[in-house]
Amino acid sequence: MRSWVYIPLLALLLIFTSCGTGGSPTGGPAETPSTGEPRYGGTLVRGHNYGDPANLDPIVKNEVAAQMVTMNLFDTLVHVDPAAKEIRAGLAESWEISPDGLTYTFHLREGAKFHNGREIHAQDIAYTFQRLVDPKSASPFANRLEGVVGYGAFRQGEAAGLAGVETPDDYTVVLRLEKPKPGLLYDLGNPATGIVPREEVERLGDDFGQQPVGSGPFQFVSWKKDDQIVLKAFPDYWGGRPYLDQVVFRIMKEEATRDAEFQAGNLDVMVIGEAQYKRYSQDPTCKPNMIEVPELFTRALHLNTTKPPLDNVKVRQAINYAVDKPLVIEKVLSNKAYVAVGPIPSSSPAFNPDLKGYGYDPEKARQLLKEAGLEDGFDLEVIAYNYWASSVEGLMGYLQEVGIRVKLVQMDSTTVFDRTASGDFQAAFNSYGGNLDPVMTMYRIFHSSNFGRAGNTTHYHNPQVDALLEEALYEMDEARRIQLVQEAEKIVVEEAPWFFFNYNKAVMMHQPWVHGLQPVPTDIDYQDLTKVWVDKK
Amino acid sequence: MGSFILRRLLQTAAILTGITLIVFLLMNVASGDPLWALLDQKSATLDEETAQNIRQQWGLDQPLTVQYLRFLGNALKGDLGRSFISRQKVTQAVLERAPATLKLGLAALFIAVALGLSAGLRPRCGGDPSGIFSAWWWPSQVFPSPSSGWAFF
Amino acid sequence: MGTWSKVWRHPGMMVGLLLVLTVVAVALLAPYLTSYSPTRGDLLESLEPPSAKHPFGTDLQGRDVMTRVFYGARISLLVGLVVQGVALSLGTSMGLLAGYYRGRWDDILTGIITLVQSFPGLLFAIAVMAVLGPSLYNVFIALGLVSWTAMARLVRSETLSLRESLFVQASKAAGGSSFHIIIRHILPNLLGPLLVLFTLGFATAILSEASLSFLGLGVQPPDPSWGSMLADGRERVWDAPWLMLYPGLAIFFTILGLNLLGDGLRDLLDPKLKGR
Repeated sequence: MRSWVYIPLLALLLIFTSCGTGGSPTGGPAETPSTGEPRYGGTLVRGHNYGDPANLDPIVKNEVAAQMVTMNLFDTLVHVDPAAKEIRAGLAESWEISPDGLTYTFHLREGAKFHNGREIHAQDIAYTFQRLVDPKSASPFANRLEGVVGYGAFRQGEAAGLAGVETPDDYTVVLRLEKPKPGLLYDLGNPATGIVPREEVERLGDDFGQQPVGSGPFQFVSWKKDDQIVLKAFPDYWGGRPYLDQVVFRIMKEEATRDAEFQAGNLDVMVIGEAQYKRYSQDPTCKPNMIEVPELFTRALHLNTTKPPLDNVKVRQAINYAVDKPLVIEKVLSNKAYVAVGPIPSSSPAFNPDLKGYGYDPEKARQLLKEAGLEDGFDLEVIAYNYWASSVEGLMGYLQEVGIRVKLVQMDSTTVFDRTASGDFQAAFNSYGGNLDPVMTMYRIFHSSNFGRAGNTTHYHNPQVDALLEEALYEMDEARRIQLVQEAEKIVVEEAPWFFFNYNKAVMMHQPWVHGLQPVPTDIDYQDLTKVWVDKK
Repeated sequence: MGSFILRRLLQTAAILTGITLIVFLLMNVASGDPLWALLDQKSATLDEETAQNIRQQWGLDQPLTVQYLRFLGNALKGDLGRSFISRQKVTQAVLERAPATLKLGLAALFIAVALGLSAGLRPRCGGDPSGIFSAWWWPSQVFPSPSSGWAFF
Repeated sequence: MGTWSKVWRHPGMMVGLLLVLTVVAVALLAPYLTSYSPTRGDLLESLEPPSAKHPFGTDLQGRDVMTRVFYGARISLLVGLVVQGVALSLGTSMGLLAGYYRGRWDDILTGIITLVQSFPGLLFAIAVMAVLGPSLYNVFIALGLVSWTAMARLVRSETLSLRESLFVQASKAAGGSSFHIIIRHILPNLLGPLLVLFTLGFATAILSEASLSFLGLGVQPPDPSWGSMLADGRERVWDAPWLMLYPGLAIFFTILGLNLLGDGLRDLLDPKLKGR
């Protein structure tokens, strides 16, 4: 604790050094002539913001910290291209869906191999799915295969396996469903369903997550906890070996550390925060090496619709009218966000550009509060984990202006989730999203069957919204699904169970010698590294 | 003499048990549901059936007393169990991180002792013995301070 | 009188006293020293560098940093005082019990002290905060619970030797009650070392509050504390160094003052140096 005394000295030092370098980020040669022709070789060093992932078994954890690594190690039946919003061939070369939407037949490509050299067969797919659903695996992602015939029986221990997965021959997998599940292919493209080799899982047991073996474009080399994870190119990858020889994830939670390492040229790629964004976006030499994307995350103040006075729709609308969102986003978030109109963000295929959200209108907010019988305002307790404190502080002044006295209580994220899951809160600030399938997202957070932990933390209940979302859930026609979900969204926005604040703008900085990075909306850290190459000597 | 050693040993055992109990209780009351640790912060949802399955597999559906006694029994046999998240053996996880923590702690101790001794041994008028005292006072102040290192044990 | 002249001749202690008094004055007079609100700002003035209007600049929410440093002094001093008050009363009574009555009391209390000390203090405080929830009062409780052990140990060992000393034995022989002996003979002799530990612990408490605030567990925004101001400024050291510089300097000088004062008190009250 004594080291605290050095902080002012350090700060002093920084004032002088920052003027000296002018914030130029390139440690290497300023001009890197690029032929535009991808080259093989080299190492990509990525900053890993989220702390050590602890486990790289795809069925144990799929948070960003783990998934940005495992997506390179484990291949899936199909590939979801989140930027193009389309589904492509993966380990399955092709597939057919029966007209009733209940039977999926996948044709595997021949010659695809695991990192241990063995060829992948249909039985491996079946084993992987069994393992994911098996209650003994205790996977939080088992429900990705919910709806497959025999899912319930296997989960309840009434069956020894998952009946709905069949392997008529070595290269064919048939998946039978109880009900149509239009979002199934999204789930089969998620690393949680990444294909694993049975012999390695059985050999390593619980340590499989420490020395993962998959069939993805990169294979596991080493892992030094809280320090770095190293992967190398898998030469026998069915899509051809990736350009890079090696990928290194350096685990660095401190923004200042990443920043310093990037400026020194020791990091090739990093995701940046608001403070860095302000600095880098103002520097013309940095701008060309910056990738921006509206991510599929909606930051909002979740309003518990069962707690008075928030059970009154007028009060919730008043909160939405009270805040000058563009100004808060510009000042507090350094413009690293987009103004939200509704729950569905602008990079979603279901984004509705015609939707009218709430503008800044404090008069109207006061009027609505008056109509709700709250001329004297009311006290609002907002819970949030400390990451969101400055966002909430930015809202406070505006809410105070119309008479809503906000009290912020910070707690750790698990406590926030506990309280929102049990309904023991008035308002909670959070970011929610990441799912490319808008129906699933909306269904989880606004359908009345999902109160609490399952996603509908505000206990929002509207029969019309329920009906629209149920219909969308089983609708196979994509255009019709989107139409249904947009209708539901319109009602949700009108009834305002959230204060719709902003959609995250994710920003990635890379060195000039790095090519092929994509603006990925599901999370900018989910980079397809088979396309990335470097031309540094 | 023998009884003194025995008494000391008993006292130590009591303190060690007390520590495990306090840590166990604090972890249970202080941090929220452990299941959240498996999910991403930005899409943390879990249906009840899945949650119940995970609790059962890890014995988290048992009463706290049963959980604690089970832990204590295994610990006495030298088995600290497996991490809920990494699924590694806890002993192994601790050993993996020990070198870094020790390095940090020892470096801090070394610097503190060096500084403390040089400051404390500066001859004072009257040869004040408190110089020696302050030499050891400092490291004791400094050593627990890399708390983030200890915290994640 | 003699004591005061010694204070005069101890320049380190004078500087320390001056620094501490300045901080106390700023804390008490904060509303008169500045016209801005410590909690409400103007977003249009967000992150302005130091100027005549805002001598220490403004923060992300457009609040005047100088005002927040001034009001933050109240919280820091309050935390130091209350936490050390708790530590002093708890530590002294526990130490006296263990050291004076010895035997079973000593075994149990030494056990408890060892138990508490075997946790890293701050970690223990964090866990306690997590149970109680973040607020200023809980900061008092959490930090008080972890900082009494050093005093208890000191009091215990001093009492152990004092109770064998001639004047205690004499008083006992004359029929003095335990209460009388503790109040009249033991406590006065503990005053010096306790005062020293109090000032040094005061500094530690301020830093601990800063650490807790840093983790979002201390004073809740928008109320200012030096620790939370440092935490907020951390990400912007490059763009807005004034966010960390001024609360950092405030902590630095306050701790320096308290340490100088504590050192001075030690020299002043050390019985071995008294006769010089």
